This record gives sequence, C-alpha cells and structure tokens, in this order.
Amino acid sequence: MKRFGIVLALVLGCAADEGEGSVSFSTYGEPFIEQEIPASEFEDGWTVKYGKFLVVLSDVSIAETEGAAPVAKMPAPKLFDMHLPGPKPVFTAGRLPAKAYTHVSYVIAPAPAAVEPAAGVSDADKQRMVSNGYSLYVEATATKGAETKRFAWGFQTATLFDRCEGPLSGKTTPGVVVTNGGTDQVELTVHGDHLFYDDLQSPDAKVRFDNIAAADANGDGEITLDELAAVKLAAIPAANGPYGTGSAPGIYDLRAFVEGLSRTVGHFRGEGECFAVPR
Amino acid sequence: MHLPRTITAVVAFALGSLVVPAPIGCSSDEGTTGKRVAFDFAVAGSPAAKSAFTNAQGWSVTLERAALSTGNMTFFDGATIFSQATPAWSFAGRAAFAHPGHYVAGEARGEVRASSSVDLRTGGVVGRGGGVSGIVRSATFSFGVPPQGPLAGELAGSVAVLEGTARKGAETRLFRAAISAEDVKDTKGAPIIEGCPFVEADVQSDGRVSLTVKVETWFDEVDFAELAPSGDGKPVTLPPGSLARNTLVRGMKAGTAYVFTWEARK
Amino acid sequence: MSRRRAREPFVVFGLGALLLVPVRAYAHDVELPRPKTQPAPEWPEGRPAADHDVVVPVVVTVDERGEVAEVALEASVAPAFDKAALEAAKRWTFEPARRDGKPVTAKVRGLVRFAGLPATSTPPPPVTPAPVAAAATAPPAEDATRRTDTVKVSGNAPPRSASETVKGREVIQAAPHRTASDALAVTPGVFVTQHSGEGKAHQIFLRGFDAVHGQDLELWVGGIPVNEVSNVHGQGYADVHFVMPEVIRDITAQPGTFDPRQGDFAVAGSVRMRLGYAEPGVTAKGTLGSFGTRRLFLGWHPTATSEETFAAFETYQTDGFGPNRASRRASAIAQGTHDFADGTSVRVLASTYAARFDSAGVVRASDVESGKIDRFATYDPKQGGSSTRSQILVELHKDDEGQRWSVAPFVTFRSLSLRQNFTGYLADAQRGGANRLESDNSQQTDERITVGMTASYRKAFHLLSPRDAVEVGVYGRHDVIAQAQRRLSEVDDRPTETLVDADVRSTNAAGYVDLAVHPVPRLAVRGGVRADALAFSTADRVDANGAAVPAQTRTAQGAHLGKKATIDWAAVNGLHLLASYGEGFRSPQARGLSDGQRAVFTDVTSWELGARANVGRVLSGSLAAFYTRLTDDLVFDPGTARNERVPATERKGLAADVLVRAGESFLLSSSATLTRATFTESSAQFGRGDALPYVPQLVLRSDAMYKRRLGRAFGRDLEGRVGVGLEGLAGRPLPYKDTGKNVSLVDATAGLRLKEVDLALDVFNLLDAKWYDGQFVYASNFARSQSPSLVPGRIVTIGAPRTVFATVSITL
Repeated sequence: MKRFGIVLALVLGCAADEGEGSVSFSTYGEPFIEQEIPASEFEDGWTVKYGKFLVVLSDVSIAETEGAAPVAKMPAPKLFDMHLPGPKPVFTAGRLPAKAYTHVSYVIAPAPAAVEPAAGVSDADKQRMVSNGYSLYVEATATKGAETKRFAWGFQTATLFDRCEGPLSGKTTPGVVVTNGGTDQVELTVHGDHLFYDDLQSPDAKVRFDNIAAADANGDGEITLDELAAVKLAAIPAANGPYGTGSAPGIYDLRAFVEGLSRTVGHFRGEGECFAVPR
Repeated sequence: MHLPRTITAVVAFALGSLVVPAPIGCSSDEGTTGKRVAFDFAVAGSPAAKSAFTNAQGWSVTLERAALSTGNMTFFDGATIFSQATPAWSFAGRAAFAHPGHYVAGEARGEVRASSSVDLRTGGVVGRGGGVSGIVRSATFSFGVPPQGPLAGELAGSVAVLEGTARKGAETRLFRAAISAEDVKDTKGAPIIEGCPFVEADVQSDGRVSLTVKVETWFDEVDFAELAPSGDGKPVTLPPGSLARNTLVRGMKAGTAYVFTWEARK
Repeated sequence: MSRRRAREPFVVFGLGALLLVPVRAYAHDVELPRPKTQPAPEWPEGRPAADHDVVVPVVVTVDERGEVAEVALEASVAPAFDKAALEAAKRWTFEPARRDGKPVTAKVRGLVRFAGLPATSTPPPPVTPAPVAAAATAPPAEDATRRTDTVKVSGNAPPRSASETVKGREVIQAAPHRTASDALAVTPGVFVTQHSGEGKAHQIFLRGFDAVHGQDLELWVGGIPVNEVSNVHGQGYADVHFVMPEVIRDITAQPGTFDPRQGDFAVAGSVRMRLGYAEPGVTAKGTLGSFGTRRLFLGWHPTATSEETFAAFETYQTDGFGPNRASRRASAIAQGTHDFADGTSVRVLASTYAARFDSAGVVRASDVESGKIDRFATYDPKQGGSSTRSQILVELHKDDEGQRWSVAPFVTFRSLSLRQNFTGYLADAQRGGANRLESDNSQQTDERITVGMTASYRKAFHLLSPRDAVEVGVYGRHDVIAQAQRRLSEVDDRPTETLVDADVRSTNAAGYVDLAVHPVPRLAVRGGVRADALAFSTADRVDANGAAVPAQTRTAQGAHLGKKATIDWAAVNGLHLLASYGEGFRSPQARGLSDGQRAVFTDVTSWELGARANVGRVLSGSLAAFYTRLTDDLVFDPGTARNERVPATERKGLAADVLVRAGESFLLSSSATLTRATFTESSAQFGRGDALPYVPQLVLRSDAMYKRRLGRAFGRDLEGRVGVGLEGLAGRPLPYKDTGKNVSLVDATAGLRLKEVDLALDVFNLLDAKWYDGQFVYASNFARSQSPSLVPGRIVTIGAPRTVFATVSITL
C-alpha cells in the first residue's frame, strides 16, 4: 500500500510539470517583396518590383494573457531589408514554461541610433533610417506595358501591432503556443502590397497603382511623396477606387493615405492579423 | 412518527412545486452582468454650423441651411481604426482576418432605430434608442433613406441639403449642395458610415446619446474657387463631378465628422 | 420580488429535514438478504465426527419471499457433507433482498458449518461476514453487524455524496414520459427541454449548470458512454432518444465529481441509466395521440430470467404540435445476460436507432407576445435533422469471495445531421450593405465511431477493518469523427460556405484507484485518484476564412488528475452524514486546440455536505448543501450565438429529495434544488459576483403514483392507477438582468389493467400552460432587414401544448 502511495505521489508530481520550450520569431517579406507584386494582383495591370524594403522591428513581446507582464521581450530594435531573400531571424525566447501565450505584439517604429542592422543591411541603409527617423523605407519600380515609374519613400510612422493572431496548423491561434521541448516558429510577415490598397478601412479594398502613377506631376518617372501630397483624394475619380479613410483623421491626399497604409504592412504567421495602434 | 402527517407534508411540498415558482424571480441586485438601458438620441451640428468657420483652403464658411436625414445608428464596443483604445474583448474567433482595415466593430451595445431629419444649426432630439450596458467606442451612422421627419420636404429625397456663403478675401460664393444617398454609399452600396468615433464611455444607466456632426470636417478641404459666383443672389449648386463637390462628399464620408457622446441621465 | 420570498423554499426544506431526521433510516437503495433462521446442519453420521469444523461453501438463491429457491454447491467437500449442507441450506430463511424497498430475488454465498468436537458453548456462526465484495454490492457501514455473505445482488455502490440518488422504475413510470430524456427529469435538480425538434438531443439543466446537450453532464446508458467528444454541435452532445422509457431499469444520478468512475463531462455530475424490462412474457403496445402521434412498442422478457434479459422495439411518428414539427423514429434494443457455471457472468447489449425530425426553431419573444406571429409559427421551415445510433457492448464479470472483476468493451456508430437557423439573416447583413441576404441557416454533420471499454477489479483487503477494499479501474475510448458545418442556400440547399470540414480523432485513456476503508465502526472513507490522458488530432480542410485547403493536421494532448474522497458516518441507525470532495474536468473541443498545445481542461472542484436517511420502505430522503467551482466555464454568447469560454464560476446550493411509499399502492418522489451560479472572476463581458445567465435557480419535481385493485372481472384482478408529474422551474436569469419566464407543468396518467390488457391515458401539460421551452438572448434578423437590429433580444422556443396519448397494451 505504501508503494502504491509513492507511485501516486510521483504521478501527482509529474502532472504539475509540463516542461519548457521556446518561441523563435523570424520576419519575411514573401515573394511580393523579394520578387515582385505581379500584374494579376493589381486592378489596373501594374507590376511592382521592390529594390529595397527596410523595416525597423522592435519590442516583440510575449505574455500569457492580455494585461499580464511579458514573459519575454526582444531586447533591442533591429533593421531588416525584407527584399533580401528568405526569412530572417528576429528574436528567440527560450526556456518558457510550456503553455499557450495568447498576447503577442511587436512594433515598427523609427530607428534609434543604436538600431542593429540585420545581416545584409548596409551601414548606409542604417544611416538613412536613423538620420531620417524612418521606420519603413521602400525603393521600387512599377511597370505597366512600356510605362515605368520609380519611387523611394520613407515613412516615420510608429505602430504597435498588438494582439496578433494567425493560422497555426489550420487553426486561428492568438499568440504563440510553447510545447515541451519544442519551438514555435513565428513569422512576422510583412505585406508589400498593402501600400497600394484603395481603402484604409474597407475589407473589400483593391490593389491599385494608376492613381499613384498619375501623381508623377513632373513626368520624370520618379514619384515622390511630395507629388503624392499634391493629389487630393477628392480628385480621384470614383471609378479609380474609393480611397475611403474610415475614421483615420486628417487624410486628404495620397501621401497621407499611403502613410496610413504603411501602418498595415505588419502581419503575423502569413495572413494573420494584429490590431494596429499608432504610437 | 406519524406517517399520515409525513405523507401530508410531502404531498404539500409536492404541490408546492407548482405554486412556488409563480412568484419567484430575480431581484435586480443579484442578476446577471449588465442591464438594458434606454436613451434619448439628439443630433446637432458642431458650433461651426451656427457661426462662420474657416476651412483648410482658407474659406470662411457660413451655413444658412444644413438639413440632414438621419437613419439607424448602432453603437459598438470596438475601437475605430488607428485609435489608441482597443476593444477589451478578444477578437479571436470572431472575425476572419480583416484586410487591410483594422476596424472590428465588436459587439453592438445600443442602437437607434428611427429615421428623422434635423436642422444641424439648431439640432434636436430625433428619437429614442435602447441597448445594453457596457463600454462603447465606435458607431455606425446611417443616412435616412428616404428622408423622414420634419425636414423631409426640404430634403426632397436628398440625405443632406446645405446652403451657405463662403468668403475668401474679396471672393464670395453662395453655394448649395444636395447630397444624395448614392453620393454617400459605402463600398457595399449602403448609405452608412462605419467606424465613427464614440467618445469612450461606460454606459451603465439610462441617458442620452448626442451626435455632433462636424460640418467643418465636411467642408474642410472644399475649395470654393471652382464654383461660379452667384449672379442673382441665389446660391449656386456645386456642380456634380466637380472637385469641390467631391471634396464635400468625401468630408461627409469621413467617420471623424460624426462624433457620438454619452451622457448619463441626471 | 423580495429576498424574503426567495427564501420560502428553504423554509419548506427546513420542515422536510425535521421530519426526516429523528427516524430510523436506511438510505441505500438495495438491501441485501438478511438471514432470519439458519438451523444448524446435521452431521452426516448424526453426530460430530471430527475435532474440527467442516465448512461447505454454497450459493443460495433467496426469492422475493425470503425463502430459499435454490441451493448450489460452490465447492464440493465430500458427497455426504455436500448432501447434508444442501439440505441444511434449504431450510434457511431470510429477509428478502430489496431494491428501492421492493423485494427482489438475490443470490447469496454462505457457508454451512458443521461444528466439530468439542462443541463450543456458543453456536458457530453459520454465515461469516463478508468483506466488501464488489462495486455493486458493498454493504453500507451500519451493516457491520449483519452476518451475510452476499454476491450477485446487482445493486448500487455506496453513495459518494448525500444527494446521490437512484430512481427506480416505479418512480420513473409514476408520471408519463415520452422519451428517456424526459425521464431524466425525475433526477433531482434536472430540468430537460427540447428546443429543436423531437430527435435532437435535449438541453439539460442540472444544479446551476446549463449542460446544453451534455457538456456538463456525464451520461451512460447500459454501461456505454453517451457523451460525444468534440461534437460539432456542442461539446459532450448526448442524445438518449434511442432508449424507450419502458426499458429504463433505474437512473443513478451522481451530482458532483466525487466518484473515481466519473470522467470527462462530469462537471455538474453523472447520470447512469441501467436497462431492463420487467414485464414478463411478450408485450405489444399501441399508442394514438394528439397531433397525429402513433407509436408501437414491442417488448419481451423471459419469465425465468432477470429483467436485464429483454428486447424491445419502438416505432414512433408524429405530425408535431405545430408547423414543421413532424418527426419519426425507430429503435431496437436487446440485452441478454448469462451466468456461467464458474460464476462468470456475461451481459450483451446491442441497439439500433434512427430518427428524422423537423424543427420549428426559434422565434423572437416579442413577435409572439405582440401577436405578430402565431406562437407555433416557424420562421424557417427548412430546419430539422436526422440521427442514428447503433452500438454493442459485451460485459464479462465475475464475483468471487472478496473480489470482483469486470471487462466491458463497446463500440458505437453515430451519425447526426442538424439544419438550423438561429439568427435569420443576420450573419450576411451585419451593419447593412448586402443587396441580397443569404440565410444564416447552416447544416452540421457529425459522424463517428467510438470504440472503448471499461474494466475494473475490486479486491477486499484488511487495512483498518475486514470490510476494506481497493478497486482499480481503467477506461478507454477512441472516437473517429468526421464533422462539417456548411451554410446552405435556401433556394436549392446547395452549400454556399463551408465553415467546418474536419476529421477529428480523440482518445481518452484513464485509470483510477478507489479505496474503501473503515477506520472505526460506523465510519467509512471512500475515495481515490483518477488520471485521465486525452489526445486529440484534427485535420481541417478549410482555413479560418472558409477556403478549401489541403488538410492540415494538428495534435494536442493533455492530462488531468483528480482526487476524490467521501466520508460516510452512520450517525444513528438509518441516518448517514456524508461529506464529499472531488476534482473533475471537462475536455476542450478538439478543433479549438492548436498544434502541440497542452490541452487546457476545465478543472472542476466539488464539495458537498449532507444527510441521507430512511425509514425502511416508507420514507427515505436526503438533504445536502453543495458547492462547485470551475476554473473556467462555457456560456452561451450572444455575439457568436454559441457557447464561449468565460471566466471562473461557482455554484452554491441546496438539494433535497424525498421518497415516500404507502405499501405498494402509493408512491411519491419529490425533489427541490436551489442553486446560485455566479462568476468568481471578471472579464470584459461578465462581472465577478454576477449570476450566470440561463441557469434556473429553483427546480422542483414531484412524481406520484397511486394504484389499487378495483375488483375482479373475467376471473382476473382489475387494477387502476393514476400518476402525476409536477415540474416547476423558477428564477431563470437571462443576460442583462432580464428574467426568463417561470415554468409550471403537470403531466398525468391514468390506467386500468386487467392482467393481460392494459389501457392508459397519458396527458402531457395537463393545464395547457403556455410556456417557453428554451429562452435565449441574442441578436437576430428574421425580418430580413437590410439594417437589422444588432442589440440582443429575447429569443425563445415554444413548449408543447396539452398532448394526450391513449395506449393499449397486451401482455401474454
């Protein structure tokens, strides 16, 4: 009987310990950023090829539930060029008790001087981001038939991507799941096509470039943010997209509109979604 | 042990099964979470509707007529896009990924189901609404189609009729705009504006919901230079398809132009 | 209402308790045969021939009169002693065994002792006390002085809590019941509703829990689990339509989580139905009733066997009490038992069932109350479903001196299809905008094969007393499930959207240790530990947006360890005081688990303190206070119109149950359960201390039967009977401090029996109460509005009006 008790005590002890595991975050720009956004994605037949897609990621944070103290946090901001091929490691949180952590968030915010460039990111790129206070910088070429446009835009928006959830083995899962001895590999996915959506709020938004191409007022093939600022949203014909702004305040021109869209590029495990909160 | 008495007691108890439920209920202090609330719904223009305001294009605008057709309103706990506040509930499992907008309306807390019309310069209570207690953060505004209420005739089928004077330096424009439901329809074709800000409030009692229509937001980007000056002292209608009219319509479709607030009944 | 009024039921119970306490009580439902006279055996040679005792083990069948019907040698000693022992045992007399106070035939094991020389001054006991022999036969604590060796009295295990009940056939059949689910209402604290057609599993409320279709109630029928793990319509879906009310032998209700045999879904408790058919011979029964109801029942039960050997068939059809309420079902059940010569017994149970039903679905309470629609109207006539169940169980068990074992494998084949529309056109019209509204109606399908087994071994051992025992049990089940949920076009029923299309595998392996020790006379401590391991594998063929994708498989596992203990003190003769503690769990929906996720179980902890008492057959009852705590819970969510996870909750309450008999002619069983279910944590939606919506606070139930011989006709006794079932439900909180309508229902029956012929008239809802069967609060758009109201409103299903069934039975 005594031995029986010992067995039971062992069972009781074991049940409480579920082990430890880790979470490994990477970031990836998908073929849209690495190769091109094909014409099939656009309503108006354009193709966009990025040459650079610099993003400053910081504050990747894991908490068991909303409001709970984070159990792991990315130590310092890091600068990535999403155009470079393949997923890029961001941050690994190890030795976490095995369980589900439903509150995960991260930040895309202007680069501090101490930002750490990821592999393949040049010093010049780092300087560009730091000195301009950019959180996001893109260089790209857009083509449609014989027409070619270039643009190089830097954004200073700071956005918290909060309460991320995404598909995990076929199920929409908030946050991350740590298993005993396992690693949850989480991709902080950046969507390059979002900069060309034609509505800030509507789920039916389409990808368009005609209006942006038309903003090249001086016809030099280079579309600047200032040229975008000169295009009133009200001047865009209804057939060219609604360019709705929902309740985002003060967005009247294409530049402000694209800046608003720059807050929507951050995603989670591919098509997963986070709440975008301005910082 | 008196068996007959016992049996009588048990039979009495059994009959009590039928009688007792009748008067039993829940007293309100030990009920479930939340409660039903009722409120008056008032609509008024911002102060700019009554006095001159200067828009971003430098025009000083004075409204002489500002009739608006209002429809159903619904109030939600979800926050507006890009707002600092986020809904307190988890959206896990409730909404598929919403590309690219981040407005998730969440749970409906209250609504007004009445169509009416109001002069934004004077404002007024246009109906009563009801709902349940809880935090509200956003609202869906809808234009009443067809217009009802006291100004239905004046609106003559439009959802808004605006007249006024715009001055910039020496320039003066008398304008008129009749905005139709077709003008303000959303991407699904409905004359509604989703995701309007509701100044965050924890509604726990009956009270009043006030909608302030910020006419300065409607007109903020309108450049009246495009409009011909009035030759006869009568207002000139903003030409359909003109930038000025498109800008006004865009302003009217901005969620930020409709600000809802809550006030508990005193 | 005032608080003072709410206390009235307590007053009623207080009086009930006073009446019960001072009497001699014996709270168990099976009494073992008690020896009355046991004349000493005669030595074969007429005198003692040895200086030691000679003992011959025998098995004695004691009939309902307490006389020995049959004696068999358990082991041969010598032909002369064997013969003398058999003759001696035939002269023994007993108080017969009783179940629910009614005499029954039982087998007991005894020792015929031939006292050797020198003869002792005190006669040796002819029958030695037996240790607790088996789960089903353990004698209660106060029987320590009783000298009976007992085996094969298929009775009930000692209770794990004061409020545990066994309702026998006489209680179940006192009032009329249309289905086995309806019959569950005789269980104290249970309220049963049927909100979506005759054929969909009932919604069960128990002790402050809205168990919906079984998520909080572990249900077993004939030794086979009924709850369906991860059913697409709801966790733990349990449909007992396949059981005819006639073949329910008894219903054991174990509130709480105090028994190591209780596993998944035993949150509010467990209910086990045993099957049997008591009418000897063959019976044919035909019923005609209101609303085009027709029913044929056939049953047989061989005269010389226990009622466990029977077969029954039922076919039923009805037009329903309003539009779109027709249903049809057929069921066949057969069970046979056999005792092998070596003492091993076998029980085989097999059944097949199929049903198809229409459902009127839900209606808005405001539409009914304003007269906008007829109360029996339906918004969507395409609702309904179908269901099948086929199963087989083989149980081998053997009782030996001081030990008992059983092994019972089973396999179940189930299918379920439900088409329903709870919200009208809401999903498609959220915040307006669509040009054409698609109906929200959806079809859920769930097909599964469940294989599993139960096995246990109980062994007597002397730890603190000779009556101590240990039992080790195992339980396993594996469910192979294919499930889907699709929106269907209301024009041509073509699937327009696939919400779920998944294969699920679920495995539950469990083991328990159960100890019974008796540290001092009159005190029994029972309890143990149960470990459950659950594994889930899900392959989804649609993604979160409903798009078809190659099946992605994810797996998750989890374990639960629960400790259980009951202290049973036989305070005075016939009065037991019990204190119980138990830990249980509810498994999560498999599709809700992420890959590799440790399955998060709902942990349940229950306490109960109470008394059980009885005065022989005349009066028995129990009174208990209970408390149950859950780490998280499931509550119907108006936002998603399904049960969603909510914060921790608790239930506190009082349960009382009383059974009174006057001879064989009158019986009354009454119970009342008063519960307060509240949140113990806050969330965005619920506040700590607030009441849980939907769960009734007061449930009252009484079943009464009176019968008497009216005279003689055609050389046969003419017996008349009347029965009534009273049901009351009060204080049902709805969300936002609304209160649901109270329910008072009366079902009645009257019958005449002339031996072979029986005429019965059953009336359900005798007073024709206009009542809501189901009550919910959520947003809907049945008006097909482009801009529907999104604020939650009251939604109801309509309860059945007065219904009359006339039945003729012929038994040969």
